[in-house]
Amino acid sequence: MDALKKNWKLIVLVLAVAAAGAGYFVYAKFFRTDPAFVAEQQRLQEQRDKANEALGVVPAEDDFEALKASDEPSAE
Amino acid sequence: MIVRTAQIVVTSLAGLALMATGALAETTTFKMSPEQGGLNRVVFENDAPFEVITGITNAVSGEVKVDLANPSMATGTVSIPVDSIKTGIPTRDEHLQGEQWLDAKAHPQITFEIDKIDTKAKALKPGEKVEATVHGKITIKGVTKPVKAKAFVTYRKATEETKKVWIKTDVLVIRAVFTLNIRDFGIIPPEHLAGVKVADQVEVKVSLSPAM
Repeated sequence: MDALKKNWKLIVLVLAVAAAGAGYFVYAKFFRTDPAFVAEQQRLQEQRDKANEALGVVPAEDDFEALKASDEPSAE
Repeated sequence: MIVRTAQIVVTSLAGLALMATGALAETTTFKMSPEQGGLNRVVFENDAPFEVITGITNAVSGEVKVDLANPSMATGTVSIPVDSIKTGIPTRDEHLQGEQWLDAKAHPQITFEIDKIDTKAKALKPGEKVEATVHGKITIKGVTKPVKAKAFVTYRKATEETKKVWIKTDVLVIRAVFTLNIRDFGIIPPEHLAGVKVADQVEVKVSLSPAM
């Protein structure tokens, strides 16, 4: 008991570090978007932007919005 | 004499019919493959109150056969490997490909078959964006359902500019949107996720650039 009283700050610190570690693990495993995925999507987006410019067409998102505005397509 | 005349008429009609068939049969095949990089892309967006899940794939294969002078007769197939769909979170991708969701092992491909196209355009002219409704069948997790998608289709000829960005031949630029209900395909979310973190409706956005 005396040991706990003497070292309570150290114990709190260790628990806090453990909690932060567990929290980061959960975040990284279940919530964080993979940086490699983000980088790959950015690379592909740049490729599409150049292709759209060369083809003289608008970005796909603009067409999707226009199509959605014109009608609501759906499964039959 | 009458017999001879009849023979000539019949032969002429047959010739005209053959010519007409030949004209109708002038289909051009535009192909797409994963080697085209980011040019082909299918996005599945599930927008639930507590989570938006966006699955993306660029690994699109297939072909579109179209008579540029009569686009309504177009046919084609599009397929994507289920395991190529990425949401950005590897753990979620594993779940998505699992038995409860898309079951990639048992049903490795999602396919879309084009049956016909409704459009007011009589022909696909270079550079002209045409609005259309694409009718087809989609197969997900072994279940096939009819689908109709609103779409824009633009036929573009290859130019020096396009050749600089890997587009060496004429292409069709196809953008289409439609919605699906995942329950129609036997995908039943667990009760604690349904309507909270997983919506029944999925919006599918398709951007394709099949090339000759």
